[in-house]
Amino acid sequence: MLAPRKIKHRKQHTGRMKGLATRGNAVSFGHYGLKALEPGWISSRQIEAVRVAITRKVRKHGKMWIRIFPDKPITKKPAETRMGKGKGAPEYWVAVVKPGRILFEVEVTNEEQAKEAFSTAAHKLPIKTKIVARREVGA
Amino acid sequence: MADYKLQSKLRTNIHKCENKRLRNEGRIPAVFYFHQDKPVPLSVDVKELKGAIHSGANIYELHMEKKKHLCILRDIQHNPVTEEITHADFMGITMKEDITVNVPVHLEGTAIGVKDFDGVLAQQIWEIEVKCKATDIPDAFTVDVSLLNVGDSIAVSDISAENVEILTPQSSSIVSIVKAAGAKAEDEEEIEEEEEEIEEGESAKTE
Repeated sequence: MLAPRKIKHRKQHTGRMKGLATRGNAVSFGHYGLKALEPGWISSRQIEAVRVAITRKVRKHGKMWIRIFPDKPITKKPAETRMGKGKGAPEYWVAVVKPGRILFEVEVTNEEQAKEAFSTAAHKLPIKTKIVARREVGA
Repeated sequence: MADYKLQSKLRTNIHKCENKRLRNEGRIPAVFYFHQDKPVPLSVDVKELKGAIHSGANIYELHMEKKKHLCILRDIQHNPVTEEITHADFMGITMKEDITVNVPVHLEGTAIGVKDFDGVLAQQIWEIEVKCKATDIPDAFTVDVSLLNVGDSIAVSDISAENVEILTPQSSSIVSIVKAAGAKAEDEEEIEEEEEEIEEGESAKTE
C-alpha cells in the first residue's frame, strides 16, 4: 500500500476540503481518466483496491497511472478509551481529494475498455466520480 | 484570410460578480491582447465560441464594437468539474510575423505490435510546439503508427512539415509500442499451467 517513506510531523490537523481542484484536474498521461466530483479522503487501502481492479482489466491491453498519493496521516483513539489524554495514534494514510481532481488514468485501445475498468474502480471509492477523456489543444 | 468570425462585446465592469452574471447569461469573459498594447477585457457568446473551436479554424476575426482584429485562441480555461468554458484568451496577430503555437498530434492506424503481439501503444507527446506564420499553422500532425512493432518508436525528427519550425526537441519520442506490464506475468502463468498439465499427464501414465 502507498505511504510516505519519510515524514516531518507524525500527526496532522483534520483540515477542510473547500473549493475545487486547481491542480491535477486534466488528463496528462493516458487517454482516459477518472475524475472526482466530490471532496473526500481516499485511503491507501482504497487506492490499492482500485489499482488491483484497474490492473485486472487493462493488464493485457494498456497502462495505468495513479494520480493521487496518500500523504495525510489519520489518527484514531483506541476503543473504549475516555476522552482526553491527547491525540490518538496514527492509524492510516489518506489522499485529500477535491472536486475536479483526476484520480486515475489509463491508456487503452478503445473507450469501452476504459469504461469497463473505471466502472469497476468507481465502486471501490467513497466519492462520486466520472470518466473523462483527454482534452485536445484548444478544445 | 480569417477562418472564423467572432462577435464580442467590451467589458467595462471587470468584477468577479459581473463575470458570474455574464456566465449565467450564456456569455464568457475573455481578454484580447496584442504585442505591448493594454489588454482589452471583453465577452463572447459561449455557443459562438464553441462553434469556432469545433470548426477547426486557427485564425479568428474578432469584432470589437467597430474594430476588428485577427487573432488566435491562445488559452481556454475550464471549470474543473463541469468542464464548461469559463474564460478565453485571444492573442492578436499579424500575417507577417512568426508566432509560437502548439499543434496537436493525431495517430493513424493500428500498430502491428498492438494488433498481433499484444503490445501497448504509449503516446508520450500529444502536442508539438511550432514557430511559423499564422497562415501556415497546421491543423494537426498526423502520425501513421500502422507499421510499428513492439519496441519501435516515432520521434519528433520523423515529422516533416513545410514552412514550420519545430521547437520541440527533435529527439523526443512521440509514440512507442511497449509490451504490456501484465503480458509477461500472463505468459509465465500460462507456462506454469502447461507445465502442471504435462506433469499431471506424466503421473497419470505412470499410474
